[in-house]
Formats: sequence, C-alpha cells, structure tokens
Amino acid sequence: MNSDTFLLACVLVLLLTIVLGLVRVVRGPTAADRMLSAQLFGTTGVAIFLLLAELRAEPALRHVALVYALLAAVTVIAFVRRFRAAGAATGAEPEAAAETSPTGEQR
Amino acid sequence: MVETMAILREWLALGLIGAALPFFLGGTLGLLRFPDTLTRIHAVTKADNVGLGLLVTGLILRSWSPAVSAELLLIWVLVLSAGATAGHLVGAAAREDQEPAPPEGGGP
Amino acid sequence: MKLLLAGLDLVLAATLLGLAWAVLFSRGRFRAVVLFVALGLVMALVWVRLAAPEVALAEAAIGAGITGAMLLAALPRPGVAKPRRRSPLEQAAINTAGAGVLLLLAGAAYLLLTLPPGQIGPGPATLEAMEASGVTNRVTAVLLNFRSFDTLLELAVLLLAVIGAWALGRWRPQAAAQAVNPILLTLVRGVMPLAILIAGYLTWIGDWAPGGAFQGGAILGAAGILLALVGRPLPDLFPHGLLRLVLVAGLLVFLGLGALPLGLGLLFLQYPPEQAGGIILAIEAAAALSIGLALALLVYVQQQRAPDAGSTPAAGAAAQAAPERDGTGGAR
Repeated sequence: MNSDTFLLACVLVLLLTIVLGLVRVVRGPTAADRMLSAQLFGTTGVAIFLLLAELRAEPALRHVALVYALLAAVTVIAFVRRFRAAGAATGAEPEAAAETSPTGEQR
Repeated sequence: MVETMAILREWLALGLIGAALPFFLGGTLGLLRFPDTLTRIHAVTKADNVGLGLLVTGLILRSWSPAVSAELLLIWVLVLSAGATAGHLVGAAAREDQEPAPPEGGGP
Repeated sequence: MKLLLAGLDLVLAATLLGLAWAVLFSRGRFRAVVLFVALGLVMALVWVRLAAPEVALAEAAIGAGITGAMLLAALPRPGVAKPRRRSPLEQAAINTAGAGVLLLLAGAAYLLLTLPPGQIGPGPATLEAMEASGVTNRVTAVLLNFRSFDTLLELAVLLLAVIGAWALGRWRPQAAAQAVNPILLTLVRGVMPLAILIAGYLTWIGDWAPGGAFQGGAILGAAGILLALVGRPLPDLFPHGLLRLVLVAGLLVFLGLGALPLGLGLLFLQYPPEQAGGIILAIEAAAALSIGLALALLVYVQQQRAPDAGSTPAAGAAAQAAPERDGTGGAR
C-alpha cells in the first residue's frame, strides 16, 4: 500500500463517519443534537478537504477547507440563534444582557 | 542524510494522519452513543478537534512548506475557536431546554 | 486504489441521493435544513471528485453556509406552523415524480456506461483564445471574458432578487431583539477581519487560481449574515444610501467597463487583450462587494406579518417599530 492509497482510505473512513453522523440528525431528539451534528460535519468536512488537497496536490482545496471552516461556524451560529429565538424566555442570562445591541433598545 | 530525514518525516506524517482517524471515529461514536445533548457536545468538540490537530500536524510534516503550514494552522485555530464557541452556545441552548430560565411572571 | 475510488464514489453517490430524499421528505423542517447543509458538503465533495475546485469552492461557501442561513431565516417560528397532511392526490403526484426521477437517473447511468467517452475539458477554440483573455484561470476566462454577457445577466438577476424580496417584505434580522453572548461576540470580532481578508484574497487570485467574484462575494455575504446574527446588521452600521450604491456597483461597473470597448470601435464587452486582465479584476472586485451585500441582505428579509404568539414581547415591539424605521430609512 503506498501513501496515496492510505490517504484515500482515510478519506473514505472520514466520509463514513459523516454518514454515521447523519443518523444523529435524523434521530434528534432535540434541535441541539442536530446542531451538534452540523458542527461534526464542519470539522470532519474540513479534514476531508485537507486530505483531498494533499492527495490531488491541489492547493485550491485547502482554500475550500478554510472557507468551509469559516462557513460551518456561521451555520452553527445561525442554527443556535434561530433556536434561541424560538424558545428564549424574556429572562436572558444576566451576563449577556449587558451586550444587548443598542439598536435592540431603540427599536 | 537528507533522504532519511525525508523518509522519516513521511512515515511520521502518515502515522499522525492515521492516528487522527480513531479520534474522528470516536467523536462520531460519542455523538451517537452518549446519553444526552450535553455529553455529546464533549464528544464532538473535543475528539474531532484533536483528530484535526493530529491531521494538520501530519500534513505540515508532509508538505514542509511555510505557506501551506501557515494555512493549515490557521484552519485548525479557526475550527478550534468556532467549535469552542459553538459548543458553548449549543450547551447553553441545551441547558435552557433542561432547566428553563425562571419565568418573570411565574409559571411556564 | 481503483477499488477505493469506486467505493468512495459509491458512498458519495448513495449519500447524495439518500440525503436529497431525506431533505424533501423529512418530517421536521429544522431537521430538513440541517440535512440540506450536509447535502451541501457532500455536493462539494462530489465537485472535488469531478475535478472542479472552483465549483467546490462556491458550493462550500454558498451551499453550506449561506443557503443554510437563508432557509433558517425562512422557517416559521416553531409551534406556529401546523404540519399539513398530504392528500392522496398529492401523494400520488409525489410518487410519480419520484419514480420519474429514478427512471431518468437509471437512463443516464445506462447512457454513461454504454456511450463512447466524449471529450473532457476545454475545446481547441477556448485554448487558443486563452492568450487574449487576460487571465490564466480557464474558468475565470470563460465567466468574465468569453461568456461575460451571462455573468452580467447573473448580477442583474441577483439585484432583481434583492429588489423583489424587498418589494415583498421587510429587512428584519431575527437576532435584533435578543441578548448576545459575549463569547460569540469575541469570536465574531476575530472572525470578521479574517473573513474580509479571505474574501479579498479569493477574489484576487481568481485570475490564475480557483476563486473569483462569486466565491469572494459569498464569504462577504456570510460575514454580513454573521453580523446580523449578533445584532449588528449592515443596515444599522452603514448609511442606507451607501449600501444601495454598493448593491448596484457591481452591475454598474460591469456595464461601464463593458461599454468602454465601444469607444474603441469594438463590440460591447469585447475587451482589448492588453487591458483585459485589469478590466476583469476591476469587475470582479466590484462584483464581489455587490454579491456579498446582496446575499447578506437577502437572508433576513421577512414577510410583514402580525406578531405571532411564539415571539417575545421585545420581538413583537421590534416587529411593530421596524416598519416606521424602514419608512424613514431612506433619509439616512
């Protein structure tokens, strides 16, 4: 087995872990579990892109990994904010209340 | 001498990349098997990020170029910080689910 | 090695199909959105496997990030929408459509396996014209020079989408009424300059490496969405007039620079080869800004509706105060 085959095998294993993670998305049971799965996809996806960049000797794929890392973060944050918007009681955490945006007050 | 160093580096790199796999697998396994959301956060954020760190180290050894290494490290730090923040946020959200903040007027 | 590749392709294809089915028929909408984000990731991997890094870059940026946020923003508040039951007619239509798609796929697979392989890659005419295109990256040459008319129209379509969305609803980021976690704010403060830098870098390298205006714009859009998520949406940070200018800047610059050759006796969009590189870069820079702003603003346009039972009083007040602000917003 040469190194390229080994790397490809690693890619396959990581892809299978993503498929396994999908089970958690489907089963839930809470939205938080699904958000966690999104986080898993982000990290494992970055790993796969980095391995593929090495395999195909394409530096552009490292840029894809960087972009994906950035955007997976935005996605998870969007998920969480959406979830909190749904169930947030009026009593937000005290330490975060000070950070309410000024425009929030003016509205 | 240089060739042996290169061969050593290559083997070490492949070893590190291979060592990263169980961490990724463990992270997913934890996500599937741990009893509740709060414990699953540990699996996803810790195991996967360590796996990614090992992978990045292996790739740095393999490429041995400053530009590539810088980009790889940047990616890792980004994933770490984003993962930490996301873990915190999801944890706070899950916590609210379990113990909702005391309502103002009394009564949910 | 070949076996592994086949295995990888098989897993990718099966996951793609399975995810697509799951997204369409998932019982919960939130679950469907998360599955859709996963679908974006698998799609990007497929693009890599098909040796299309530019598309993979765009898919990672748009499919995984922006579309996810857009779908989330479009979800109704949980508990407000009641799940509909499907009538037997609807179910029959869905089943027929599904069977039809599967049939099409089977036919395509058969053709793929039996027809002789065609030519992969650019034709001889494209390769000959590359010298005069002003750039080295073939995809950018096609998008911004050979078929620049299509890209021009795409920018116009994006602008029309923003105008259309605004005609139907109001800009209303959901996070405006919430308290923001200080840890999140710190992350955003660190990520924002990085995102802008990466967006600029990707736009700039589009001339010789996978990248370009759409990829850079998508990252800027994600940065704008992130700002809106922490309660500092772009319309609050910049004068509305400036935002409107930036929105149309991409299209205007494209039209303007496309009209320049007319003065030299050439056709519209027929860039002279010596200046083509510079022209393309200028267009990409303006377009990236416009695309980013358009995407960021599209995500949080919501329909005007009465405050629902599920929203907090603060959000309700925000919903009622927002129309007044939008009404006088043009004065800023």
